[in-house]
Order: sequence, then C-alpha cells, then structure tokens
Amino acid sequence: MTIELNPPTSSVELVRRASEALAARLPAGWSLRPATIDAAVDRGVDAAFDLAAPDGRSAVLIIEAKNVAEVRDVPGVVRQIAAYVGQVDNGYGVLVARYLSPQVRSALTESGVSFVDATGNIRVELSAPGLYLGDRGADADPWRGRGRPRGTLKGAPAARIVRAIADIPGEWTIRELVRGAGVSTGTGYRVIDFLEREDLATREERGRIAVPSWEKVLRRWSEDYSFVGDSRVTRWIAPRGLEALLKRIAQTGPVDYAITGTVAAAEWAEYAPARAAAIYTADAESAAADWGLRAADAGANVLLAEPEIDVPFVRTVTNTAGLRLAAPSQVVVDLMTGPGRNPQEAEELMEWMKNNEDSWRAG
Amino acid sequence: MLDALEALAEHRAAVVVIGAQAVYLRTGRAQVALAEATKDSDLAIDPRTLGEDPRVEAAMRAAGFVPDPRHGQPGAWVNVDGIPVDLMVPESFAGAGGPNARGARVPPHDRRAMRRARGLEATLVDSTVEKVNALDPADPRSFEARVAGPAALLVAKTYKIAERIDTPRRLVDKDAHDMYRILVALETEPLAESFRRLLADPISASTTAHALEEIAELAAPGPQALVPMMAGRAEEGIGDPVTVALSTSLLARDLLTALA
Repeated sequence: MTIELNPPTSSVELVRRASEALAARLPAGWSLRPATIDAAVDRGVDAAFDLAAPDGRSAVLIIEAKNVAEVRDVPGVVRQIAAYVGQVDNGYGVLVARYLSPQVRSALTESGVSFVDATGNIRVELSAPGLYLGDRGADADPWRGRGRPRGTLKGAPAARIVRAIADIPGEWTIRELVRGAGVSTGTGYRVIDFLEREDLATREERGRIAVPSWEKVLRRWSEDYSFVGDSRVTRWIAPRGLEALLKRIAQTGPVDYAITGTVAAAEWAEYAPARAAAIYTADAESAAADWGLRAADAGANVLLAEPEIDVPFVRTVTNTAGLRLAAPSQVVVDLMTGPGRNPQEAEELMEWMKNNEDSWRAG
Repeated sequence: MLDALEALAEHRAAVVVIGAQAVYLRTGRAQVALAEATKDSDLAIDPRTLGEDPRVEAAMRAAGFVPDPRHGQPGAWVNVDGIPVDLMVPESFAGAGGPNARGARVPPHDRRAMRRARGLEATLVDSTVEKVNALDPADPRSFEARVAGPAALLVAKTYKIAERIDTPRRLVDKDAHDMYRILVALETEPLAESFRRLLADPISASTTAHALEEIAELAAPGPQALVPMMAGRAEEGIGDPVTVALSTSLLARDLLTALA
C-alpha cells in the first residue's frame, strides 16, 4: 500500500480509506459493504460494515475512527468498542486511525481489537467466519507535525509552560496556566494535551491540571530543549578569568542577562570549579563590550547565548553577590544538555532541587 | 626568605623583595590554577642606600648562609636548610666590570656577595613597604620590607625570559606564568600608570622601554608567542593552557595599547 501524500482530513475519509484498504486485501469471494444496524448503535460508532465469506456466513465490523491514538487511549477505545460490539450480532471491533505506533498496535493486539491505519498497518482477525488479514505500514507517523497535535515540547509556548509548571507548585486550571505562562490558549491546550499523552500531567476535577512530577517534566523538556540548540551561542574569553568577570558583571548596568551552567549551579549545588561561564543575554555583542570579553575560539572561557525563546530570563534569581542567575529549573536543563561533566552536574543540582523544593519553587 | 631579610635587617632600606615571592604578594588574590611552591628568594640590593656595615657577606654568614656550592656564582647563597637566596644588584648600579663580570662591585662589600643583573633597575623605583609573612603558616615571623611593584616585576621577568631565549633549557615556564599572574591581577590602566612612572624616571627609563619592546615581541603577538605559550604550558594538566596563553597575549597587548 502506498502512503498517500496527504493525511486523511476527516473521520469519513479515514473510514473510506480504511475500508478500501481492507477490501483490496480480502481473499477471493469475500465482500465488504456498509451494514444496516440498530440506529442507537449507529449513532455511537463511526461506521459499521458487513464482512461476508464465500459460504454466506458474515460478521459485523464496528469501526471506531481516531486521528491518532496513544497507548494510554487503548483501554478507553477497547471499552468503547466492546460496548457497541455487544449490541450487534457477531460483531468485531476495528480501530481505524491516521497512524498507529508499534506500541499502540501491540496493545490493541493484546486487547483483541483489530485495527487499520492510513499508512497500511492492518490486523483484522475474526473467528467466525475465520479470517486473518495482516499488513505492515509505517512505523513512524508520516504526517506528524503537519497538523495537531504537536508531538514535542519544542518551541516557546512549551518552554514557558514547562518552566511555569516546574517553578510554581500546585494545581492549575488551563486558564491560569495559559495566563501564568503567557501563551495563547490554543497552544496552551496543545502543550497540556501533549503532557497528558506523555503521562506527565493529568486532568483532575473541574478542569484542574495536576503535574505529579516536575522532575519528569524537566527531563522530558531536555529532550526538546538545549542551551546550544535553542540559542545563538558565541564564544569569548574573559582574560582576567571568571572570578573577575563575575565581579564586573555584578557592577555593570542593566544588561539583560541570566547566568546558567556550572557557575549558576554552584549557587545551589557546587560540583567542581567552573572552567567556563555560560550566560544568556539578549545581545551578546553589547554584553561582551560591557564585560570586557574578546571573541575567542580556542581558549574561550565564556559562552554567550542569545536565546530564541525568552524563557531563560523568566523568574531569575539574584544572588548575594548581585549576580542574576537563571532559575534552577532552567539551569538544570541547560546542564543536562551541556558538554563535558555538565550532565553529572545536572544530577547534583536535581538532587538539591528535590531536597530543597521549598526554597526554589515559588509558593 | 625571612631568614635572608633577618640577615640583612641592618640594610633593610636597601633591600627589595623581587621574584616569585613578590609576585605572590602582589597577585595573591588572582585566581590561577598554579599553586605557590617556591622557596627561592630573590632580593634586589640598592647600592645607593646600602650602608658599609655590616658587610653583606658577613651578615649573610652570621645568619647561617654560605655561598651556594651548586652554582659557584656571586650572590647565590644557601642556608643549612637548603633555602637559596639570591642577592642581585641592578646592572647600572653594579659598578665597573668587564663584559663577563658577574659579581657586583659595590665596595667595601665583597665582590662575590652580590650578583649583577639586568632589568632590575625598575625594582628600585617601583616598590612599596609591605608586611612579608613566611610561606610556612607555622612560622609566625613577619617583616616590613620593600617589595617590588607589579610593573617592576613584569619588567624583571621579561628580562629574565628574554635573556634566556638562546638557551631554551634555562627557560622556566613559571617565569612566564608569573607574568600572566601580574597581567591578570592588575587592571590595565593602573599597571600602565606604573609603567609611565618607570618610563619617566631616569633610573628605570631605558630598562623599562626595552622591556616593553620585548613584551611586544615575545608576549603580545598572540597565544603562540613565547611568553603566552610558556605561561599556558605551566598549567598543563592542572588548568587551561589554551585559555591562559590567549589571556596572556590579550592582556599584554592591552598594556601596550594603553601605553601607546
């Protein structure tokens, strides 16, 4: 089965494509045609087909159509299909979707629910009349990213929401979260949906969103965000060393900056002396001029990062030396994705964050 | 070192602490990877204020120092603990002497008591009285002594390295690292101001001008130049050689730019 260039855009088209794919694979003498079923059942399902064997025996395929189904959706789908299957004579449930991942397919197989996806992944099994149809389509969603839902925590809205969730304890309503993170409602929903699908957030009563583990959210964010990947990073040298540089930064005027990396982590969980400073700034060239930095390649001891997303400047911490540090939730993710010993430093900081939640999460 | 200062207590006004210990006193706060370990003591002697009594050689021997048998050169002393002390007189004050003369001629002192040395004139001009403690924290003694200033030390180190270029085995990375320490520890402008004073003083003018020429050639061109390269190499395995080398050249260039 060739994969069509465009994804099915509606459940009607999804069902049409799925029924065509099934019909094309049926053995000679078998037939597939729309079924006439009880109106109440008809209203609850996306489609129903009569599948007839050459000997005249037949079964009813109850079709549930979904754009995308995740593993966590499987139990619900199975329950829903079972409810309708029980109301028709010799019914079998089939989940039809735009794309089903290998994990979802195996979960459906275990639950005894047949499936057809629009990339050509097919498994339909009937006991009477006896039939097994199987085919292999794509193992990755060819249409991902072109429509909703987004499958990552990339981008500014996700960054803002992740940081808000990490920095501020308690449950949220979507409204509060959208307002608190400063993102549009639509993108806010999309990010929350994603967190839900990843089991990182749950919807509670009255629309409240609970995030059981800020740590897991930050770790998941680190798969999609990095200090180097989401910023324009330039390399510099502070010729009098980092201590002198930090002193100078503390005395310099209102440059927009936030120190991250080893230097910032040392504020909470000192690991090893810093050999290089990593600093977010809105304008690297003017910060470098203010701080007496020179462009350097080999020998650089300062990395300046102009972030594509302004989230590193959100909820910064000013230490007793007068230095502005990125929030621990930002620093820990920057370290997770940093070079050298940074990942170990991230674990040290994460430990500190777990043990000192009260001191860094704004109540 | 305190032993030597004690030995020459009567000549206190004529003695200037130079070398690694002075560098340490001037740059102690600079954050560098290389630890202080030197026991060597270099002292510059100012013949203009050096009294006749006691004789330097007698004072040193009375304090337990003997001429260092390992070197056999004038001005090199060592005590029973093996602590070496070098007494040096800036060449332009070291009296008459042929091109191969090594001892300083400062009568009535013995001509082997002190060594003539190039590039130390600035230490007689740029120095302040400081409290000098023993490096060993268990040693409670401390003395008030003249200590060479950072600019004079930079001049002296530059001469030391430049003189040894043709005998690379005598080049010591630590000397270049001391230059790096001085450049790091002082902001460019105050250091340049000290240099201006040295250039304006007839005692130190020509020495200092020559040192700046050497710095332009040996330190400022870039991290691959001799002094930055040696300074970086001194931190190999313990610090960041490449960063040290680049810093040294940048700061040397800054100094020259400020003086231009």
